[in-house]
Amino acid sequence: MSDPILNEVSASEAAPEKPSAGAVRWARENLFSSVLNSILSVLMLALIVFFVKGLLSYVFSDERMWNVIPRNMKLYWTEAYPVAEMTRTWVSLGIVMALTGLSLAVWKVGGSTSPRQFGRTLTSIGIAGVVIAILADASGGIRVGAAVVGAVLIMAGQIVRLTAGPRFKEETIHIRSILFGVLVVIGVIVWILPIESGTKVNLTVQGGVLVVSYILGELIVRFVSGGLARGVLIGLWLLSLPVIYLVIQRAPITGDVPLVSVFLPSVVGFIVVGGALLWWAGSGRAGEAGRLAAGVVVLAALASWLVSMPMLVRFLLLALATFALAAPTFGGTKQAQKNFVVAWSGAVLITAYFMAMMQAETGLEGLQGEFIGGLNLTFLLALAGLAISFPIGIMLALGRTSSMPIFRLLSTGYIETVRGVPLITVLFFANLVINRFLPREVELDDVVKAIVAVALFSAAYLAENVRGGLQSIPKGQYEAAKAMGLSTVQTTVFITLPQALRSVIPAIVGQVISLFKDTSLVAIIGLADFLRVARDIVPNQPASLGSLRESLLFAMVIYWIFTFNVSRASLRLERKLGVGER
Amino acid sequence: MTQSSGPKTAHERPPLWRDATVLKWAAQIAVLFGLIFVVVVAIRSAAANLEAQGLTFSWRFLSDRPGIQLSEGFATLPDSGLEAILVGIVNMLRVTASGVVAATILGIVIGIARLSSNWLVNKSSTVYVETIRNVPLLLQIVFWAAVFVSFPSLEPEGSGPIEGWLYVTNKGLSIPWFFPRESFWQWFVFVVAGAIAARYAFRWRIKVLEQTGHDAHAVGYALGAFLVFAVVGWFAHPLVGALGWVFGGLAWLFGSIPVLLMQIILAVLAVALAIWWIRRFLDSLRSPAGLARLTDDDIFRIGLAGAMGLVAAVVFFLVPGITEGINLGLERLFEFWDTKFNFLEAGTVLEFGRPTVETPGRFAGFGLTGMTMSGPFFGVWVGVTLYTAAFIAEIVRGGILAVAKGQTEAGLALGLKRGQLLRMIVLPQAFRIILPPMGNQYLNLAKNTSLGIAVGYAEVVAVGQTLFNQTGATIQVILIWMGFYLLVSLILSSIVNWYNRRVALVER
Repeated sequence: MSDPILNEVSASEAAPEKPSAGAVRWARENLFSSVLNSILSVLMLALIVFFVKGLLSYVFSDERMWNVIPRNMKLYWTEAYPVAEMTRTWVSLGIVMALTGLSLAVWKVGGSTSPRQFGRTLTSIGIAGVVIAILADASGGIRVGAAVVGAVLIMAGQIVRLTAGPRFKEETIHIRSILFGVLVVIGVIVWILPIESGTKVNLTVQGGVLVVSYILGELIVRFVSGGLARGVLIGLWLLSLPVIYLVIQRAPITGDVPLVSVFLPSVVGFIVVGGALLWWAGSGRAGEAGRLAAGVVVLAALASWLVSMPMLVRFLLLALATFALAAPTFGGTKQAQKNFVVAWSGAVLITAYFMAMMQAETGLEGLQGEFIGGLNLTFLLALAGLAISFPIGIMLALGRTSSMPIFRLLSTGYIETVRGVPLITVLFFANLVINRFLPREVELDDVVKAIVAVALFSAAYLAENVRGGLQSIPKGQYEAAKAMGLSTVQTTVFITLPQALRSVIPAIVGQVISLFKDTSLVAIIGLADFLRVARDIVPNQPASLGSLRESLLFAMVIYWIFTFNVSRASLRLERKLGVGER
Repeated sequence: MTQSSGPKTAHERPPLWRDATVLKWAAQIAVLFGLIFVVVVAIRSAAANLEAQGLTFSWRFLSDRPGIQLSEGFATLPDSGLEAILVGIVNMLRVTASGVVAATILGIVIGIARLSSNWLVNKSSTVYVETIRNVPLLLQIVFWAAVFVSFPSLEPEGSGPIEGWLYVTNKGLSIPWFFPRESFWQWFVFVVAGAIAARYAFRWRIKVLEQTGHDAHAVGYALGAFLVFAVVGWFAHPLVGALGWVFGGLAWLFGSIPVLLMQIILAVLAVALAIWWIRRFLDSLRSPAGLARLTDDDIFRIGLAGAMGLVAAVVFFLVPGITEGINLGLERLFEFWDTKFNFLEAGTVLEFGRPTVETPGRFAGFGLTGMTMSGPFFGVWVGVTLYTAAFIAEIVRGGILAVAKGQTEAGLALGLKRGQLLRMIVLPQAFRIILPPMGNQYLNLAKNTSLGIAVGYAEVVAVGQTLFNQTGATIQVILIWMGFYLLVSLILSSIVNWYNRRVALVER
């Protein structure tokens, strides 16, 4: 029986519209979905083409003095560092490369990508190359080159897509293999550019160090536990900063330092006596007497600043006071006591070593005694500033959220004052005024003053970020800790701070990026950092006159590469640590 | 651990060295004394160093004539250090105000573009934001200043895109503009009155709308009220000349009041302010059951407020210079307003000026008619505008995304048009989320203008540096900088906080 409802359907009703394949449908949805949208797309396309054409013509025009950049690489990298000692900077870079390679292996960085994604990326880069070839108003050689490279990449992308077979969409290509490929490409580019041959060899060696250390790291992870390897690596990273800048690049001469007469007995004495004191204080039986002893050491440490004695002894007393105050928290079991005393000995040795290096005169001769410049200086300012501002910022945040009114007042006052003034005023203050407030024997180096200024400034912003994290911790955590009998210090160190810091990682990374960008301001107080080299020093050389804009564009690209990658890495880190999830 | 045996009773307090309250206060006082000690040592060293160099710590450089010439400002050859600093402040405020306006508009446009469904618009704005945010601002400012230098040069004839109206050259950008003349301030009183009237008209019409349900053209009425006042003021502005007498009288008052009387008034005001604050604080702790038990913190705050009031009162008495300064400042201020509002000032209100090109010497330059933007100003303004706009775009995008999708859907279900939806439902809620971070960005913009020193813009940091290079008064200039910038941040954050409190969700 014919269904009356079905029969109502007229034959003229067409079958459902077949969706058009890939590109056309995408264009219709995204670019031309409505009249307004279409007009907007056309306008934007015209604008973008105009802008890109202008940019490419500017970049590829014959007037550009792009060869200024490879010729002045040393200035960009280290400015006035004595040429005879350049191996030191290469060794520092080598150390960083080795540590990076080891870290990549130990932390198993990088996920995987699928052949489809990889193919798409290759194809997009190829298309960009072809577009450059079409739009740029440049000489024939460059256009042909860009077109050829673009075509090759497009073909490679398509070949990857075609040969991937059934596992096309699965994530089978490791990011690490891609990074290796990128390294090889960079190596080839380095050898093509008109850089000095010695530098080419050094750069290749650096790349080799990175690869070798990565392989070494993979081997190590097989035999050693991951936790131990990670701990050791973190320690090495923290040590590498002062070692590179105080020892390797500074070439200290230790002849004048009273190593045998003052340093040796102090070190031995502090290790033995301090170790015994800390063993007793952390044993769990010391109780009241332990805290009293810690108080006595604190008073002695403060009093030592009023009496004349070697700086090393003063700092070691301060360290002993800190350790003695922390002994009850970190002591308890025999194993913990042992670790604590071992940590104390290590701290004494490291402090003594670095104090000896700092007191030693430098063996180098540079521009007015300052030889760290260029990108080298930028990194020093950013990393040292960050390292110093972190503990200060955390203390300020704890002070601002404390229940004790005076600490709160002092912390709030400091944070609001420093956040309300621009960095340039703090830099002027540190550069010109701070020397006047110090007793006349103490005179700080220009670079040290800049680091202090940047650290003090950044500490206030970090304190606000950490405060946000501290305030987001549910009250139940504090109550549970109290119910378990944890002291305030134990609660803060083991429960509050880890949660707070984890939850504000995006903000902290944002602050790190800002710090890196803000180091460019030291150009205004005369330090020869990367921006100053790019703006004042390279374009004013007789052979490079008129290359200001090229130099600035190069500086922009370098800054952009670093900050963009740091923010991308932080996004990956957030996802891995599960920030925002319980 | 050694412990006293048995549980403690409620009356037994732990020994002094274990009592938490005692330890906390001892620690705080110890740290405070340590800080005071460090400060005293620092000041002593500073004094010793200054003496060794033969310099003195004085504020005389503010009244002396500095031998400097500033690149731009209302007084390029300042008569005193103070005037030079004022020129720097005005220059900084100029670039801040224009930067805030431009960055807000650009930032909102790009923020909305980031949410567009059009792929090209979306990706372009993403590229913009990612590029600008990751390059240091100093580098961008220097870059734009370098771009300015590459503009075509100014010729006596035939220059600029539109000769006589718009010039884009490497000596400056020049456009026609309206310039305030003698009677501008008198007319401005009418403009302010018009704004207030517009607000009342708007609120009245909104009430009518809510009562009757018919469209009451609130915006039209408000604009109308404003325009009526503005037009009336254009012709009737001399009527306000009487204000000049009022200001003149006030100036005479502050000029002739004896210093002692002023000191007494200020001291009484300071103490009264402290007492008022303490009473309001105690009232906030009062409930129908009586005054709540005061914690350590509350006692500390009350003590601090009282102490500050007393210290202020004592300082007013001990340092007559402050009161003299206040008297002098107020007298000068009212004299200045007297001259602006007086009957004698009746004349034109605004004058339209077009840019002209003159050749005073070998090279062509812009005349004083027309608004000219110099190279350094261009570099700083474009740099901070583009930079801050990128951050504002992200804030706007976050704010709009944070308004729950259900709101949009409910609005559409009610039959609202897209424009009404945005205006009445989405944007007010987004505003609440957007405004505090946006206020923060404005503050950052104000502080970032200090980078103008790198391109030669004569704002307050650059002027200050020139001053202390000449006079050696480094510490004083740095104190002035910090005071000025702290004042600006205080004003901006107060405005943001006030707005926040007004639109805060009333929660149970």
